[in-house]
Amino acid sequence: MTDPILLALLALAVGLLILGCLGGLMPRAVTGGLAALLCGAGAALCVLTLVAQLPAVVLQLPVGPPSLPLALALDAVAALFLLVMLLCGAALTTATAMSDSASAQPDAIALVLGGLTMTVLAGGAVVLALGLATAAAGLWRLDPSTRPLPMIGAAMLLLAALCLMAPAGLAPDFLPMLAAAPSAWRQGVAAAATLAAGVALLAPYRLRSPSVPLLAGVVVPAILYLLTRLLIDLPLLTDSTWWGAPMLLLGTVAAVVYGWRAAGASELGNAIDAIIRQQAAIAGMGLGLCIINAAADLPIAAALALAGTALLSLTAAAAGTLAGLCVEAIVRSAGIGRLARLGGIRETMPATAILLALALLVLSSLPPGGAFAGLWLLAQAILGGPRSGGLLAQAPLALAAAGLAASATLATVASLRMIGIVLLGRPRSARAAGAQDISRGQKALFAALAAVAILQSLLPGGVVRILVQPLLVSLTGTGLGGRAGWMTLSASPHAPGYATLPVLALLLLAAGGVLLATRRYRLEARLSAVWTDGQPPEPTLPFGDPLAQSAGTGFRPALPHMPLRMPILPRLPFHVTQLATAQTGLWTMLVCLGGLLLLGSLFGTDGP
Amino acid sequence: MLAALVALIALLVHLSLVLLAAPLLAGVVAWIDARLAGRAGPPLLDPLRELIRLTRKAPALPENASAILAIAPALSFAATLSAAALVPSFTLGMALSPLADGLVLASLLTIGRVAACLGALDIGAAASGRAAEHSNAIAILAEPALLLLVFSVALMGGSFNLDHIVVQQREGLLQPAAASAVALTCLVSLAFAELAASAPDLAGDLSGIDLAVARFTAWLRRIVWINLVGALFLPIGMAGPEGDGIEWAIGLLAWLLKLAAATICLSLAQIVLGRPSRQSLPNLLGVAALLALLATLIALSGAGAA
Repeated sequence: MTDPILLALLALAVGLLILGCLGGLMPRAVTGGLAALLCGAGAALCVLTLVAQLPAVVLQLPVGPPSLPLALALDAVAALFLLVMLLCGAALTTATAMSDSASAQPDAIALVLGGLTMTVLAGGAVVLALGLATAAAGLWRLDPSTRPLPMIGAAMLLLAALCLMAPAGLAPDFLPMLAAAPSAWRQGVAAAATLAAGVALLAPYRLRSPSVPLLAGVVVPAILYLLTRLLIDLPLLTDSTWWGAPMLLLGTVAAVVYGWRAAGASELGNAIDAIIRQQAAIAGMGLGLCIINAAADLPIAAALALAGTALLSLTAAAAGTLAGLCVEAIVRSAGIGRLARLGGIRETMPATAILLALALLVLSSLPPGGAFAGLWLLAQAILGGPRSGGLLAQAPLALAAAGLAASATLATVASLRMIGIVLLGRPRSARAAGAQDISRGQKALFAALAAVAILQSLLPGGVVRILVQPLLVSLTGTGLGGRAGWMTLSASPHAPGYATLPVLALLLLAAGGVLLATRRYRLEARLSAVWTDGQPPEPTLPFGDPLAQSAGTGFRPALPHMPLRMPILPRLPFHVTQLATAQTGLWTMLVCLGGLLLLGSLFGTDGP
Repeated sequence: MLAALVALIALLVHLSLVLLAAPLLAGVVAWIDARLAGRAGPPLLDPLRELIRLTRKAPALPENASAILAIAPALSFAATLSAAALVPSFTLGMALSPLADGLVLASLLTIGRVAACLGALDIGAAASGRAAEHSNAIAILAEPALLLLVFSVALMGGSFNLDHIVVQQREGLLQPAAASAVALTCLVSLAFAELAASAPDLAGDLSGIDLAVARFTAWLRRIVWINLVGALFLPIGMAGPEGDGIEWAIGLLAWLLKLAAATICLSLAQIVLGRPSRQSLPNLLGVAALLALLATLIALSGAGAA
């Protein structure tokens, strides 16, 4: 039954690509509506694949050079990530169709969605690279200031990685790779190329605010899919697998760095952007943990890590898209995105404020949010990880635990800061005071996204059982079984674990009791003006003295000074410093990989 | 069925004791502080009188306050009370012990702080906004240290469940001892930083009964920290999961002694070391975080060696 589903998904992807190319000729609402319909239908097909646990299928298209046919594949891994992308894509294109902004481009979003759908459906290197290149074109069309080089470079690196993993004389398709494991050195170089591609795709910090929901709902899940496929599924994980630790450390560093940036960003769009990248980095940590545990032959611990990654991906996609859309609405309505000029949005845009607060609370690593469930699973994966190799071998795990703790706190602080500074308080400018709430249709759409985010937060075990279990079985050979109840997650079937609804019930019961008691004894309050430290209000500042309200600049502690002065480095000649760019780095990597491929072909499949 | 009933009774007794002890302990702390400073000291029941006095006052509500300001103290109290319900005091096996996950406990304490900060930021006043900023800047150092400490203890105990860890500790299985000692030092440092440091008041915009709830929350938080230190590293006398009345009585006595010892030690530490200032607090918390990392590293590598 999967063959028709794969064909239907292919048709949907082609439809999205056609909309991306010709959508500009139609009214925006029509293009957006058609794209949303296609995405919704695709998401339904993915749910069917996952719930019915249909077997994996491969489709060879009679297109392309004689020895290089285009291959497509659909399995549990692709279905899960495609479900996330298409669901968020449907919400995003619907929002774009409803938007009255002149800059909304549903056709460009459809192009990105179509390209990335092809990437996820790819059964070989060629379709994967073509899909990524198409998505890069869509992103560039969406925002011409976006540099397409990182994505194109990443596509080339992934192409090189897949070529390295392909058996000699065969096309770089997934099926032959899974049938005959390549030699260790090829796997190692391919993993290095994949890690470099992942860094190239996730590292750029400053994206324009309109790209944030697209980043959260579509681009990040696609990147996580690629990392899962190339680092866990295709290689043969043995005790000599080394790329788990670098993946874990890269994820840890990125999670802390982006969390730090989110807690201090002065622009609302940049803060949300950083939070989404932080969630992606934490999910990347989960992939690293999964590789380490699987390589040490600890399938349950690997499954826990992978389940954590999947939950974090789902949460970051749904809540991140919602947060991104709300931020877009606030910035569009208020005309400003600086935290120091916003404030009091709860009064002017109450529905948007509530929905943004919900999204941020889900992302904030606090129970009962979905991000907390993901982090909890990752912590269990560290706890169940390998304990051999001494201090040096355990250092990455200890650093990962520290990074997990730090990034959880930073996510909480960043979310609290955005809620406290932007939504609460008094308006800091006339524009913030004059912002208008979103339309009724947008409210319904955003509320639906919020319902998805809340549902997966409250029932993490149910999500794992229904949607994630096939992926776990496919990649680790074992599911979580009795460890994932509908409301609970645990490290072993009969041990106590994390139960979402009882924790929420405990909180609500206690809070309700206190509220009832205080209401019973509360005397009637008398209204008073805001206390301004005894200073009379300044007549020339109708929104109060901007300095009299926190602008969110002190939410991070001051970093300690360097204990040792760094040595003064000799100044490099101008032409050398000019060469040290990310672009040069990517080209250098490509040349090195090309050289390795050449050496491989000269010295045979086992390498030099 | 009977076991569940006993577990429920244990929880209710535990909660009643904790709620009663919180203001009393605040009075004792104030009295000991005054005595150590050579003054007569306030009456021990002064905090209770303060609560009653605040309850009888009409609250002053800033004109631009939203429902957040009214809900925040209750939510903060609820989160802290939930945390208090999860940390065992005189017996193990209370009704909520399956929920007593270390990460959940740390997060509940965070929810209490976050709710208080939201209340402080609600009306956009300068002083409470600064207090919220300070609270978060400190939390960025303190909360990872607590989470990492929970992690190291879980590595030694084999589970994140507090009851499970306490049982391991009572049987002398919380190994390696070096990691255990480092973790204890870290927890004591965190507790000292939380309880002794002078911080700007997050409840600056509250008055009347809301202020009473906020004060009570702070006292309750102190009990949670003391119970956490006592349960994880000094579970002497604590009744087991299937303990009888005599074991409960012994557990109660031991808990009271632990509370008294912790209070005296805290006051003495404040006198000898002084209250950590705003400038020295990050250093103290940074050291605590490094200790937690060290404990984690020792626990990870020690488990392999064992």
